[in-house]
Amino acid sequence: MRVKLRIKRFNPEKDEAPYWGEYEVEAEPTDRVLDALHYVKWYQDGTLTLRRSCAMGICGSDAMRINGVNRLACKSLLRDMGSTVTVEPILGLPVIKDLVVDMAPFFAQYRSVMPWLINEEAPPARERLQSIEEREVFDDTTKCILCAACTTSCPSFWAKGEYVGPAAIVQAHRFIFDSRDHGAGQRLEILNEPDGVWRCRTIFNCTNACPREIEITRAIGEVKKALLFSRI
Amino acid sequence: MRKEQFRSAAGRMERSSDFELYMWFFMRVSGIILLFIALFHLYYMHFVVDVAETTFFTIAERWQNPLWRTFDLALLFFSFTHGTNGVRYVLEDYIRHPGMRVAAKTGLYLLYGVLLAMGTYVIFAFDADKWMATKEQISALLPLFS
Repeated sequence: MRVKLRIKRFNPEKDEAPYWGEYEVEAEPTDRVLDALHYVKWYQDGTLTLRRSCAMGICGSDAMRINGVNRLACKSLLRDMGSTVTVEPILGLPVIKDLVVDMAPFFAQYRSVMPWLINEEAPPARERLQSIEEREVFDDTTKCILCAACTTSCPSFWAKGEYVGPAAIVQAHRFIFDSRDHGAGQRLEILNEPDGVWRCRTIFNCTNACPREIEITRAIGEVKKALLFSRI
Repeated sequence: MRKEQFRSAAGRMERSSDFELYMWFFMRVSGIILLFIALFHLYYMHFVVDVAETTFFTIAERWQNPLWRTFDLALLFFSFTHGTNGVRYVLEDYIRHPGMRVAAKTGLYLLYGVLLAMGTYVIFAFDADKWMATKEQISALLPLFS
């Protein structure tokens, strides 16, 4: 099949404003958007800049806005995208070049929820045991690959970049509900700040955008409920 | 006080409060309450009483019963507070300049306070019996003004 790619290009050293670059690519319907982008970069225009590492939906590097929806380019088949595919950088983060955005603010918010095990007790001789039921509680949020598709699809985040964002809340959820972790109180206090969990307006864009199909809005709701029940 | 000091103090005050938490909870609770009372209001005012026949005296007659006044007070409080907080969310999200945000929110709170006070005052102070007693006389005069 012939596919027309409309790619939002921007080189800060040359361009005053972003523009749409158009490219025609011959591809199989089972090829991915990433393959088409590779084809453009390797055979048509080597200046096209994008980020990707594993190309298998695990590393989370190639989140981009494809046909208006945040997706991983390596998990989106061309047959599902139509004959014209528009590709833009994810929204709400500063564009460095073409499809590459500055992820520093995103990771700063990720670090702000202390995404590591907090447990002051001396480690037991073998391991900190956990039942299957205890693990089940936060199973969904362990799937996050930090691709930022959720946070950069969130209108609350677009409106206010200081909002901690769905991805950081998912990561906080993963520890708050872990029976081995003792830092839930501290994390909940951080998320109780005005730019914390209460900026979420339950829009569900994050849940729709997540390439790992995490029920993000539900996780955020569970954090809100945990905060509420810690007060009343 | 310098502007930066004022801002960081305001920031600390916002951070230390559970205001957003309780407003979130209020939105859920009032949303459920409004589902019943706003729908009942709609049903009553449009199907039980014909809109075309709703007059001053329809309300005056209703307000002879304290239960109706309580209902209308609840409708006023929950719908107006729920709606005002929704507007506050929009202002919080989209006004980036701190001074402008404070100004817009102050305006909203003033409007909320004045309108809620006016509505509450009318619900409590309205003398339904007095008006119903004059119904015949006033009804006789009304055609003169149409």
